[in-house]
This record gives sequence, structure tokens and C-alpha cells, in this order.
Amino acid sequence: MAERKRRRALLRMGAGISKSARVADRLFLPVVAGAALLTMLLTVFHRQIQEIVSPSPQPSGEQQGPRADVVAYTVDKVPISDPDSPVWDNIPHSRISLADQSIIKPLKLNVPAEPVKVKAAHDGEWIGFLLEWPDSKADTQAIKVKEFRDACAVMITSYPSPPEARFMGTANNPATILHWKADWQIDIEEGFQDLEKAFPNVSVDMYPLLKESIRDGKPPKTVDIPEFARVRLPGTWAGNPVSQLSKASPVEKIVAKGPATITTLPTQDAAGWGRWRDGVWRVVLAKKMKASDGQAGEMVIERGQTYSVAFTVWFGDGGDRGSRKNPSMLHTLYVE
Amino acid sequence: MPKVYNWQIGREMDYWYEESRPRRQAAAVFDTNKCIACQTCTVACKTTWTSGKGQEYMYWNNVETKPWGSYPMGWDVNILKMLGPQRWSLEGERYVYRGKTIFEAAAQSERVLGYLPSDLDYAYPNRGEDETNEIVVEEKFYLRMPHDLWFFYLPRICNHCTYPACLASCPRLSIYKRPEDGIVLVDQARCRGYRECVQACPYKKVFYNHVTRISEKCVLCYPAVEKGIWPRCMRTCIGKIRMFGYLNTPEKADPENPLDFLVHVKKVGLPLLPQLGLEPNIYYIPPIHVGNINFLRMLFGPGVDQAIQTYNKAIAGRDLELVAALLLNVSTDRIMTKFKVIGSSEVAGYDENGHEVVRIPLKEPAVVRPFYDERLQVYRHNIT
Repeated sequence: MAERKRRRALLRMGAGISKSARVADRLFLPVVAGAALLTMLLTVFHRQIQEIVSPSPQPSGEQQGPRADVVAYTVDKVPISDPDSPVWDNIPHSRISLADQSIIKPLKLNVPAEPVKVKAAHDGEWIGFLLEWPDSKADTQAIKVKEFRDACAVMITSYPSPPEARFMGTANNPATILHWKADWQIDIEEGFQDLEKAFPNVSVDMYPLLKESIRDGKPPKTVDIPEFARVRLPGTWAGNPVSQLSKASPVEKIVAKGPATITTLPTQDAAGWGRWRDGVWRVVLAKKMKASDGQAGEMVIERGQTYSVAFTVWFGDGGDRGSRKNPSMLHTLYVE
Repeated sequence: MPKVYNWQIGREMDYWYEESRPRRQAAAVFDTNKCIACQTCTVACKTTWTSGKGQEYMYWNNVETKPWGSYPMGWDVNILKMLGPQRWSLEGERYVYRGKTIFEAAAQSERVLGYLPSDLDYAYPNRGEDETNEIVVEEKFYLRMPHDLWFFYLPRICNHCTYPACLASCPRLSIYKRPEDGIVLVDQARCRGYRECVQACPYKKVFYNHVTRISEKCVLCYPAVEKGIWPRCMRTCIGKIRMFGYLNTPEKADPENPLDFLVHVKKVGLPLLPQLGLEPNIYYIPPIHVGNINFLRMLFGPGVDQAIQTYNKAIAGRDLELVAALLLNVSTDRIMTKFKVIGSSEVAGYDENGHEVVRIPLKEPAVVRPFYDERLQVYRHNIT
């Protein structure tokens, strides 16, 4: 009798144990998985914060100069408008990751998978950058309402500079920006991409005071709008650099002191050229090391000095323009 | 986002910038009952401002036939569809919009809810012209008010909104609202052609110039307005549907100001799609013959029923002052800031210096001649 009672008690205990064990079993996996996820998230978040506060040099394909993310190597002559020049072959590249733009609305939140490869060189007179990034489609036209061009930019400001200088400089750290635009280049290469390029069947009886400009009507054609008729082109007439029909260079030289402050510099002496081949853009952007617009805040680039630098790419087919872009973090540039 | 007060929706709402009303706001009232879609306004604007290359598709002023017409195609249904069904509620004696504005409904990554129209959307500026709401069938084709079969004309220009979506959306700060008259302009020297404004403006009244590759919009003929003269689309109006002037906020409404009188006192002038939250400054007297009142409520907000009632009263001759104010439409090209009924037979309009700029009879004097002229021994075809 006593034995039976004892056995029953043991059985009850056993049942109790196995019940709590079952609960533990059920919770074990979710708890472990949750903890692992939390740790992972914390690590990623911590890294991102660190990256923003003090950007670490990016791991690069080849070795560069001391502690700089990008080194401008000395060459005899910088090929300022030739991305295919053999001079670039001898210069090691840095792989610069492109980030999202999550500060100034409208944002661009998706990030390209591939980093941009950056090479830099100088010859004492010019400093040039070769940017290379994959882009499945070359978007060189911005005529229709929904067409946006491919573009890229190099931003140079002083070193060291506060983290917020990444966003196109600050009031105390004006940034010099070299901005290459695919549609400007094709305007130079093939002649101004006029209305007929996007709308080949466009038919208009005449444009008031613009008769001369539609002489042949075949795209592409050069600018032949008479000076006195420019009043019909408000942007052109107002002197907007975007609206000028003849462009000297596909690279615009800009000074900026923070978001929404970019200003075209009075002396447009920046150079460059882009070439799209097999799904890759290779673009040279160059400026004179001496600042021709020093008073307006243009950076002077000197040998043996370090600068802060950032790179940005706009993908036209993704609707990129203005703040919808993929900028890099602020990096260091050493001029050999 | 800062909170601003939008009296058209009766509540505070989110906007990209702090509330900053101009010293005075240029505004207009369009009487849709009188518009005949002659497009004189459209052509006046076109020949004045957008005859250049790259501006071919631009109509800063257009007249579309509702319900089917729209330029660019589907501008209104597209944004309303994006916004989804929303709600107004009657609180006390006023309507309050309880839905979301396009600023409040914007995605986290955007400033404003919007979309970019395609080339095809711009390709048919007069689509749906004179098309009735339903197919004309014999049994419905008889005259009664309001009509089962209907359409009406909606002339549209930039609304020079108090809270412009174009201005809010521009990351380049190229768009500004003038403090002296509230006219919204795109700085042609500053714009970089991002087209954020084209995307954001729900009325689609900012246009991208194909040749200059930057954006342009209605300038409300500011060079004329600065001289006290009406914009061209308004002063050329054949149907005399338009009244141009300056509008105060409701609490500062001046019953002698023709705009305040129509919008705030008589409440016959209603904003276009007030639920979007821009506080547009072009007001519409809703058409009184439209059989589908819900369509009008969607376009002009919940004040439609009251406005139609008041307007009908004026037509019946039971609101002399309203008749007087409506008669001032396109009676002069000088901007009036005051009007007064003189006796019970005339109405006069005054400019901001108090000078009388127009005086018209409430009833056009008419001489009725006999059908048969004894002296000449002829019958007349036209006796008035």
C-alpha cells in the first residue's frame, strides 16, 4: 500500500518535472533565436553609429598611401578628359562604398550592391578622379518629364572637418563639388539634345522669334537659337547653368555650404568626360589645383596635404536627382 | 513637421515649413456656371507665357470638361486614388476634415504624396470635352434641375496655395511664395530641374520645360498684378466668370472686399480639392445643374450644398448684394479691394486707393421697340 502511494507520488513528481521540462523545451529555441537576433542588430547598429561618428578607412583592393582612403598619385599629365587613358591603368584604386541618403527628404533608401572604384592623380596643375561604377543602363537624356540623367560627383572639403560636412559642406567648411552630368556630356558630344531628340515627330508651325532654330529639325543638331529669341527660354535667359544650350564641359564646378546651398562657381574651368561600356560608367572629373574662385570658397589643393572627400552617384533610371542619390561617407584624400 | 492652421479643412495640419502667410493673398473666384469653355483664357496665357520651344505641352491655364476631362490625364483621380477614401465630420456648425492631407499621407522618405505624370498624360489636353456624365439616352434627355445628364467646365490655373506642395517639396529651395501678394514662383535662375515640384503638386500645375530642363509654372501675371491690373487669363474672360483680388483669412474677412464677400460671407466660392491640404486660393462657385452632388462634394468639399442654395437664391433675385458682387466679374481689369451697392440699381468697385474703377447697373438698361414700326412700316426681328 505504502509502496503504491510512494510510486504514485513519484509519478506525480515525474509528471511535474516533465511538464516544466516541456515548457523549457518549447521556449528554448525562440529565446536563443531572439537573443541571437538582438545581438546581431545591436552589433550592426553599433557599427553604423561608429561609421557615422568616425568613419574608418574602407578596406581597399590595393594598398594606398599612409592612412588615407584615397591617394592622388603624382603623374606626368593627368588625362583630364580621357577615362580610357593608360595613365589610369597604373594607379591603384580604392573601393568606396555608396550609402543611402537618409538625412534630407526626399530620401533614397536603397543602396547599390557594388562600391564605386576611385582612382586619383595629379600633375601639379590638375587633380583628377576616375570614378567607375556598374550601371546596367546609360541614361544620357533628361528631356521628357520622367527622364533623369546619370550623374556623379566628387566633393572636396578641408580635413579634418565635422561629420556634417559630408552633407555638401558647412558654413565654415565650404565644399568644392565637381558634378558630372551625362546629359551635359551628350550635349557636347552630339550637339544640343533638343526637343526633336525625345519627340521625333513633333510638329510646330513656328516658334515666335525662333524660326531659325528649326532649320533642319533633325536631331541631334547644334544650337542655332538666335540671341534675341532667348527670352522665350526663361531658364536660359535667366542665366541658369542647367538651361544653357551650349556647354563647355560636362563637369560643373560648384561650391556648397550645406544642403540646398550649391552654387555654380563663376569660373567654370573643371574638366572631365565619361564613357559607358558593357554596363560600367567610367568618368573622369578634374579641377585645377590652384583655385580660380578662391574668394568664393573653392578649395586649393596642395601637395602633401590631406583633404576630406566624398563621392556620389545618381542612377537616372532609378529616378535619382537632387537629394535622391547614393553618397559615400566622408573619406580622406592624400595628395602625394 | 511643424503644425499649421488650414481654415479650409478646419484644423491644424502637418506642413514642411512653419505657417507664414503673405501680407496679402492674391486670389480669384471662378463661377463655373458661366464658363463656356471658349478657352480664351487658355490662349491668352499660352500666347503670353508659354509659346517658346520646350513649352508646347504646357497649359498654365486650361479648361477641362468634368467629369471626364482632365489635364494632365487623370490628375485628380490619380491623387485621390493614392490618398484613398477619407472623411469629413460636422463638428458644431463647421466641417472638419478628419482624413489625411497629402503632407500627412506622404511616405516616410518623402515630403509630399505625389506622382510624376507621363508624356501620354500630357498628350490630350482637351480629352473628354463636352462629354456628359452618362451616355445620352432618350428617356433621360429632358430638362429638369439638377440634370441627370450633365457636364460642366472647370477652368484651372495654379492655385497659388497658402501651403504649396511644390514649395514644400523642393530640396533646392527654388520655389518661393512672395510675401507681398502670395504669388508662388519658381526661381528660373536657381531651379535645377529635379521635378520634385512636378511630382508634388496635386493639381499638376508645375511643368518641366523640355528645352531649358527646369520647371516652370503660372506666374499669375505678376508684372500686371504689381500694377494693380488683373492677370491676362482673368481679364480676357469672355464668359465673365472670374473675379480677381485679395483674400483675407476668415477671421479677418471684410464684407466689402468682393473676394471675402464671395468666399467668406456668402460662402459661394469653394476651394478645389480642399482635402489635399494646400489651402488653394482659386475658388469655384459650384455648378448648380449637376445631378451628382457627391461628385461636387469630392471636388469642392462639404460646402457645396450650401453654396448651391445661396447661388440659387441670388438667381431667383432674392440676394441683391450677391448678384451685385457677381456682376463685377470681369467688369474691369483693375484690382478691386472694395465694392458697394449704390441705391438698389448700381454696383461700384474701388481700387486700394479708394478710387472708383467701375460702376455698372444691376439690370442692364433695355429699350423695347415695337415689333412693327409704324413710321418705317417694317417688322423688326430684334426688338430689344
